[in-house]
Amino acid sequence: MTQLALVIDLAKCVGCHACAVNCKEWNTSGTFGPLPDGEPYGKEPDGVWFNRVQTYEVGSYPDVEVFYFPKSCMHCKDAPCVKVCPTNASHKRAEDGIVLVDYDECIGCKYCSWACPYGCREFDEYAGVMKKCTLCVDRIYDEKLPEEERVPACVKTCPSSARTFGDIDDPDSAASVKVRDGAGYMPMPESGANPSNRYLAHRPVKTALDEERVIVKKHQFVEEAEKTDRPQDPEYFDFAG
Amino acid sequence: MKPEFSIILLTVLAGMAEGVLFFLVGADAITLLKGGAVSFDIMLYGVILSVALAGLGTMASFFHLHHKSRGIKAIKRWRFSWLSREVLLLPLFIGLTVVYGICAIIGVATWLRLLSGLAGVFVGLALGISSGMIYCSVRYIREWANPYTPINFVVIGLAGGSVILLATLELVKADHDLIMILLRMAIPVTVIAMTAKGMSYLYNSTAYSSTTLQSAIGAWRSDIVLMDTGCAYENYNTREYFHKSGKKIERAMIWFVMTVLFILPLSMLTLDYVAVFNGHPSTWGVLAALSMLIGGLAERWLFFVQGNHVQNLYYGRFVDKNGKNPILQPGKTAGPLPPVS
Repeated sequence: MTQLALVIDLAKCVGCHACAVNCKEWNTSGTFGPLPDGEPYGKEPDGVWFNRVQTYEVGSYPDVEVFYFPKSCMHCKDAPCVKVCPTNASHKRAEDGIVLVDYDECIGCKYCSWACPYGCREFDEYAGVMKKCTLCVDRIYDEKLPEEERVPACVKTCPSSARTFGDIDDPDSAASVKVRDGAGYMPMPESGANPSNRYLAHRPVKTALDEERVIVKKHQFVEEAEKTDRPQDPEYFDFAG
Repeated sequence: MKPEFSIILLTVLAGMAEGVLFFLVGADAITLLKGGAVSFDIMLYGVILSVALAGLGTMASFFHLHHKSRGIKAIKRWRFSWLSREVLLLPLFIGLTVVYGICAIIGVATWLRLLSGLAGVFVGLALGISSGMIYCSVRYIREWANPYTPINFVVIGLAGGSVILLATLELVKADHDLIMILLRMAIPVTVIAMTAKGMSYLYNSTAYSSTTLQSAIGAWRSDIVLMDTGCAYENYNTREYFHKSGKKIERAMIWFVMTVLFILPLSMLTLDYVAVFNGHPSTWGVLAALSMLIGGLAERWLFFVQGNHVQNLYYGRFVDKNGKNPILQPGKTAGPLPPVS
């Protein structure tokens, strides 16, 4: 069985919301769009997003850490939303395990969203159908795109490479290796939905600078000042750090 | 959960329609056993009442759908989804009620009439159970996912139906014996419904989901504060799963429901019983039915408001085992949260 999913490293996520924004951009103009907005520039902006980044603070002062939790459809193996759909609009693809909504079948009863423990389905009031993350099914199989770009928009855009896309049922895929090496976990395992997306736990990442290997390049103003006989402004040296 | 008026109307009215048919067929059978017969016009009134209630409920249900023309597709997965079963059983129930009415009008054999009536009652009970199971099968809402939900849907429907049928009989000045038969059934059934609902409220006062924010995001620290929900103001998830103004009056509404749905109608039915027993015409049943209708709508509204979905954990709207919720207690927890309408 193939089960495509996302593996998200919470230690690498910097909370920039680029995945959420790029998801919205791609899917609004993609096959499964649009993702409508109500009053986007008003006081009460309200819109459909397939992906949202939530921010949590753990610990108490002074040992406080902030971490980010990007949450999109988990493409559960025992998807409860698929089980309750009265029309078969919500379905799980046998070939790759992606959970999709057929907008032509959906009657807009919202029952699937009640059955989802993760709150990953958002209703489109304008089209009257339920919408959700498609794992960019219109990107990952698009043969017009170069091979390395056939990944979901959120994975493509992530600046810190926190997101990995792959088949988690294939033990040799990059996603599975990450899960295995980084002790990937599933959120809310007691939900019984058997979510496919995995998270690598948030852990403190120490960055140490090796002083000897740091190349300090003098600022051009400093270099110019050193060449001339002009009295050197101490502020220039601040640039060089 | 956000209460939706169309669903409230559908479940309350369809439940009462089931109750009306149940007690109409019951009164029919008991009268036959006693050697009499329910008059032709009473049968007609009863069937019209049941069909009207169920029809109004069906109309209301269409307002819940955003693609009304596709409504028929909802019966596709009747083998798997309780919602499909409800959609399938509702027209079947109306159809069988009409058949029962036709049997009474054209005067077919008694056994045939009773058989069609019993089939209608059976489908009506199945409809009530599937309505309840729609909510009972949402396992992420502890207030819904318990056996009381389908039981309550059925018994409150039966109680409401019995009292509404009684009110109709009193309005059309039906036979004294028939009213007595109905009263003797309506009072115990209302008491049973009150007990079931009371037990459900007791259960809900202590039931809570064992899921925590720690498990929901996989961070095993005791002190986690939600700082940002990932939306600038509101989204579908904050609106659909949490009803702030309803949550604030939840406790008061429990007493309102218990009073208006059960205690007031029961006192009126007792007065009615005393009056009818002494041979006086009485219209207490009409008042009881009005009270039950209001109480029934309030009960279903509260049923939705009480639903506490685990996805609320991600938005700081989850009510924990102590009955505490950050949104409802501003200033008691740290962390900015978006305003709730």
